[in-house]
Amino acid sequence: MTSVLGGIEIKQRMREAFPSKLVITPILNGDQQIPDHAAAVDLRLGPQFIVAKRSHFAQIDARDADSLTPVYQSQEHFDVGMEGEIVIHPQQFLLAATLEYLRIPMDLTGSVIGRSSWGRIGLIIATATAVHPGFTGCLTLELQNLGDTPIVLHPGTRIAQIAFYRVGADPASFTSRVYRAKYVAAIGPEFSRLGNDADWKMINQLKR
Amino acid sequence: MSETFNPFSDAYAAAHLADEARSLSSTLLLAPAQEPRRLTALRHWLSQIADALAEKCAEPADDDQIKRYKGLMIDLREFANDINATNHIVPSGMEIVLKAFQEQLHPGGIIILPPEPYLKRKAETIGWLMSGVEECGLSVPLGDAVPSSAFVLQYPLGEQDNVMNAPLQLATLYLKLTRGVLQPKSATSGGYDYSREIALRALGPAYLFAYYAQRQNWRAASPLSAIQHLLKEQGWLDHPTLGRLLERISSEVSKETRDDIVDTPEWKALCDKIPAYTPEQFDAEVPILWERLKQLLPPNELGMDEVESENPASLVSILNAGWSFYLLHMEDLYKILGSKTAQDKYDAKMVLNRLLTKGVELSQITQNWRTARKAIGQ
Repeated sequence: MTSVLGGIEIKQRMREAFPSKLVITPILNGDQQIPDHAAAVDLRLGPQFIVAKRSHFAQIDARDADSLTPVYQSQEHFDVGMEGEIVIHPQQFLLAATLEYLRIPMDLTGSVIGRSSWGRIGLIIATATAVHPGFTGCLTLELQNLGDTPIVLHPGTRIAQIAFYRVGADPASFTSRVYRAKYVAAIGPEFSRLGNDADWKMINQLKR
Repeated sequence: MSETFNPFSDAYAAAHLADEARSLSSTLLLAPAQEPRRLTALRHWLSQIADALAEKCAEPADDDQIKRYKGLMIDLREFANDINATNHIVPSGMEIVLKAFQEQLHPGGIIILPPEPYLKRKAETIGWLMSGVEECGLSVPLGDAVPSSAFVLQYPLGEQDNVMNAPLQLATLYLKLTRGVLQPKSATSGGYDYSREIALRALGPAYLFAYYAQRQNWRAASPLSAIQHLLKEQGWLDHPTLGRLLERISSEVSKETRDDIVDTPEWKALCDKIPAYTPEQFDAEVPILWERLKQLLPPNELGMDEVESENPASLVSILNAGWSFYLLHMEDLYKILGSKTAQDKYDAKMVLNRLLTKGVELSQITQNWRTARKAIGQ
């Protein structure tokens, strides 16, 4: 039966041995980020951002893998440091990452959502919410300001939360799973890899 | 120890060179937003040469060929530097790591990290301007415009994320720390530059491993003196895991150096100021950090079972964990990641570099956070 993990259970999973250990590091303030009564962990904003310079490309067509290249090349990457800040303007979209690095065991899956306090001032935090079993790395957050006023973002603030659900899998299968080294251990925001989807081959064939 | 991780084998040297070529190639593909079409084509051509060189390094080669490969790598890097193809690479792993060290060792200072040479010239010009103002007897307050404690740390183009080599760049930071202990003439060309020996003392084996791996790529290797004395003094040569390896490296490197620097009063004054990294610190922290790396986790934390981060790893131990993991346990990472081809293994090495970068960054953030919490009484 799928059930969401409560705060006490999340902490228990963090104290377990590998391979079933859940890792979220660093937890800078345990009482604040994982209260016993809550069913999620608060995640903090990291200092790195990616902003697209819209005037430098015409469109994104993910079917043409090459078309993503100019978009990738037209991004600005920032590291504002923990003492810095970044302003997100109305309708602006930017990629950020969690400060925390996560390792999800094979019998858990995660779901990322924004904190309502930010949502109420117009900031949408995450649109791709599923975090799969076996994930290791920092989570990329897709931020958009839907409000009318620019918002100043400060790294270190609690900006998102992740809830965990059980999956019917053996946690021991973690070590035998083969990862592609290019895609594990992300340590900052990552741009879309939509162009690598295997589906495009089929879709291209249909269009011939 | 497999040949790949035997620092004295040809395979180790060739793999190191190939990794550099791959890294330079991917750097060259990270284009600036706008550039002339011909420059794009030129960057791609250089990238293809670097890829081809990396492939070539995997084939058996005699000394002359290896020498030619190294020469081509140096030329490629210099040319890529000349066309200033990479001024958009921020942030880099190297930047994150060096800034964390600067914050601990030299708070209040500022470092300028130029993957491109023009920034270095800019920093030097600022220095000349400051001296000129002083010599002319002018009074122009610096304000915030010019950092009073700026210095330049440079790293080779293409190596911006290879933080395993950060110890080499950190030697410059240690040179900065020698100011005030050494007379200006001693810290520059007029006297002996103790920065490499101080870096070895403060960073332990990580510095020596980085130095030994990298020196094959230098046109003229900078000498590292009194190496056996320094390792012996701290007890590294008796270390059960690393002792024999360090002894062999040090005997190779010692052939080209002088040992009398440790008898000078300047050296003794530096030792009083800059503490040594010891085998005891290594044994207390590094094995725990290896376990984290084997689990694809950044080596930022010593407490494996605590929920809240209370025990951040020391930055020096993180760098030592990285190098010793690479030499002793990298096969474990290959197994987890399914790394088979040379490209897979390069990607795995970059995973290790990413984990080290994050380890340093998070350790420093945790330390700062704890200090801030204490300051507000939490």
